[in-house]
Amino acid sequence: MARPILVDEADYIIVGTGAGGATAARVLSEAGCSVLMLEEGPHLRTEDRPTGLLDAMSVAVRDFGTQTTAGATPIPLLQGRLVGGSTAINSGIIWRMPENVRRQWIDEHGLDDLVDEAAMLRIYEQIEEELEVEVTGDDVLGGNSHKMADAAKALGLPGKPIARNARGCQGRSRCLQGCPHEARQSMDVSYVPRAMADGARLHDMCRASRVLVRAGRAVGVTGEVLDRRTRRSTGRFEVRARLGVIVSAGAVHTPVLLHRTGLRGLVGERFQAHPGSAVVGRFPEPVVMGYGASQGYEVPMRERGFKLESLSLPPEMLAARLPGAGSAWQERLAHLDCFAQWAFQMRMKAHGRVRPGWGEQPVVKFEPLPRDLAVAQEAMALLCEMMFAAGATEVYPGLGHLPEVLTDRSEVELVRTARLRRADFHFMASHLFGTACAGADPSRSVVGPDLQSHEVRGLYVMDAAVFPTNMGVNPQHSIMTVVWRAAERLANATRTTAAA
Amino acid sequence: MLAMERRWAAAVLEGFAPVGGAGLAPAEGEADYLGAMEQMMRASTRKAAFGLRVALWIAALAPVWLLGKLHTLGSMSREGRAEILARLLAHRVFLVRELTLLLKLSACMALFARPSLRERSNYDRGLGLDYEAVESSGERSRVHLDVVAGSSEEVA
Repeated sequence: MARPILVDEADYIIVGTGAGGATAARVLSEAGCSVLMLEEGPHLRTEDRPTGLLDAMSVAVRDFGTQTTAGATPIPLLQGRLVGGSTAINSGIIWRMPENVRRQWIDEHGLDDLVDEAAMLRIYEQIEEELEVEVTGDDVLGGNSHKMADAAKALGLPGKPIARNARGCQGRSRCLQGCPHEARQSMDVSYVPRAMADGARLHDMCRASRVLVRAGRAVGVTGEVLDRRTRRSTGRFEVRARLGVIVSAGAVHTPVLLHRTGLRGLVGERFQAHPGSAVVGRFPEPVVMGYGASQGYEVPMRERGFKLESLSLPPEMLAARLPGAGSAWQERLAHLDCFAQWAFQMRMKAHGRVRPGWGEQPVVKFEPLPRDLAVAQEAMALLCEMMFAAGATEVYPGLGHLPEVLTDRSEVELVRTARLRRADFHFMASHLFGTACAGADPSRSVVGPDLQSHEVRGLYVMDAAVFPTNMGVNPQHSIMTVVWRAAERLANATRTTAAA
Repeated sequence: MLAMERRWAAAVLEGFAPVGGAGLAPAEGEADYLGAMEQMMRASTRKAAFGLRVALWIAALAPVWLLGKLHTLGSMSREGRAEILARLLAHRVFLVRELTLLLKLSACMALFARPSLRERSNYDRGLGLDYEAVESSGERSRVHLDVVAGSSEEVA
């Protein structure tokens, strides 16, 4: 094997710098452990994040958003691929783990200590303070969210402004391209630099291919160093872990790395997601999606299995979402200030599976169940109804076999009652879970309640892959809190061992 | 892409928003359709890049399989191209709809990469955006992408 062009060593090697990896680095380095972070994507300074969507997506979004589930009706899986992971492209929405989910993890998966109520409360509060979480102010809600608030009020729905980690947001509506004011406290501007201030080191453009295991213990990571421009391999890296390896590559790539390391059992199983879709409405007056928080307002309908959110899009994506081609489309394009878009995300019951595929692309098998489609249809109908309630003159449901344009509220009934098939929906998913589930029972899980592999000592998984269920709310805060809990226990154990 | 595919790409993507059409119409050569599509293909998965090429063939040969006419899309009038693309976007087969949507997204990437077109779309209405500055900052970012400060320490 060729000599590695990059070698290094630390107490803990962390693969991935998203919500999980960066939080683990923040906690472990503060505790005095030496930490080395590996990231497959680039480390971009805020001023170097491209503003144009074509460049921004090319650089920051994994495969330009074209990573999908397998099958005839693929679902795009949107993930960040840069330092900060998906936190560097999301809207910074902060939700604590719902109590029914926490109870389920305790009752069905034996995770009492991992999601201990008092410990989680303490960690939530600390993270919320450090990441400057606050409810989106009226001044930066923007027209898209204000319209949604109008609709919720008109229909008596339980809407509210979204809590985000973006104090000082100036409403530039550029979360996806990178907040130009660093108001959003994504990991690249918060926990990664904080960990580095505490001594952690970072190697970007390093794609891990395998965890090195010796005598049943994780001792390092090997992989490829990638060229910044072409992303082609320039050589091999090999980094050694004195105490442990933490895999935080996300619910799609973590199981692939574990699989390539030789772990089997339930690795890759129980993949879950919060797929969603969106409805666009046209208004007679300006909405100006270009101003305001990218996502500022939400209507939680968790008892019905979904959550509605305002979702502002860059002009490129909004334009693609408007129906038609030619003069009818061009007429709409000349009035891009008059559109609103709201989306739903749902807690799908379906389970899938992730496996390594040919080359770099994992194979993600995931197919919504008929009851999932029924919930999605209900959510779409409600969004259409809300658009009309807010005063939209045209509504675009984006569902196959239905009219592209609805012009009257009575037509919402078509959306509600149509016999829709799977191929009629246009889903996208960015909240991905499972594939290396945590649990007390080794026959039903991949890692234990301390997030350490049942098979390999010193190998930890710290990201949404350990979630035994999806949650129905945005997961970033829960990922960070669960990882924080596991990482501080790991740090304590390390200190105790060192003292002994 | 083959030379033929590159010609098709320009003709098909331009077909979504014909020059001289009503509403937001780019001037001749204002949008770099081919550049946008090639960048999308480079940044996408191999499967998606292949899908974009398949989409191109489906759209370019749509007059044959959709209308039974021995033309390519590029040889049709601008209005005719837009009409066929609209039909493909609403096609009953999921794959045809989705692949055509990928082409449409590619066209949008090209259109709104130009601040002049973004300004005419009114997307940022009332925000006082300096479109010339947007243009120059976009160029700056593109240049910096190749030389962005890295943190990898290569050990020989």
